[in-house]
Amino acid sequence: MDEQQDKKIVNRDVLKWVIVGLAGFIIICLVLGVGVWIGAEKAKFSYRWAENYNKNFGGPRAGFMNDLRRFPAGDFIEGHGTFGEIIKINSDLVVKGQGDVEKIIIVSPETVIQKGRDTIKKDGLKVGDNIVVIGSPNESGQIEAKLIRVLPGQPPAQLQP
Amino acid sequence: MQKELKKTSVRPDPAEPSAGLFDRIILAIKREQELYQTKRLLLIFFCLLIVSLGIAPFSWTVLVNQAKASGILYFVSVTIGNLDAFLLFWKDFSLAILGSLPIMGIIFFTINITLMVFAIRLFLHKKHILIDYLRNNFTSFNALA
Repeated sequence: MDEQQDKKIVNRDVLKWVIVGLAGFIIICLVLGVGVWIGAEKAKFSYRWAENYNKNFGGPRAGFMNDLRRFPAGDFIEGHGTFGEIIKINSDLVVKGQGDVEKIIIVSPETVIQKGRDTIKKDGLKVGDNIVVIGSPNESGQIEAKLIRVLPGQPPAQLQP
Repeated sequence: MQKELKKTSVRPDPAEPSAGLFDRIILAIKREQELYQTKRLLLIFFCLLIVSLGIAPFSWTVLVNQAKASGILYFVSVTIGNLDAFLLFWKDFSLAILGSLPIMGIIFFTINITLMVFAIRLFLHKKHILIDYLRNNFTSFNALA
């Protein structure tokens, strides 16, 4: 009788550890999966950004000799958000962000632009403003902005000379 | 002469071991083993503590620098400041934050903290043994001085 109870307790312990192991394995798989997916998204955006650099910015990134070894500079480029200084305003915005990478930000009528507590129009933006952009990448290696927030005061520390 | 030689050559009967000698020997061996284990634990504890404390400022600096460079702090602050927009465009917000996570910095700092916690846990788990050992050594050192 006692032996049977002991066996039951051992079986319960084994089952508990199997469940814990499986749960851990599933969590690790999920985290890895999310990491791979995000990496793939960044790689896709980086590829499109490089493919369309000539069209978007009027010349190859590393000069006309096209030094491909310099691309991408460090990590892949983030496509769902950016931050940095506005260096040009035309129909879209050109922002110089991390690693001196220029990105074209498409501003649509639905884009929310915030400065402090106020919501402003695109005309309220000026060259030299430091902004944070949240949006989604398009097929041309640009970011379609959903939200733009103008940062007050000093530019982000890593963009200072 | 021969008598004297006989007297000296007579070997006395071996003395009976005192009662409990075997137990005392076993106890002494056990104590020695415990002392060795305590020394080993103390060495591991100090090594872990010194290594984890030594690399803590470095790992913290790496984490902070990577977090600043990645812009995650801006994305998080924008998310907190615009919760209504976050509910609408949660996917873009989430991907912006996840994509800018300073992974290497987080891993490095987490390993550092884990080492530190493990060292402290080791100390707390065996604190009576370790404190007793340290106290004994300290008093004997003071007596020598």
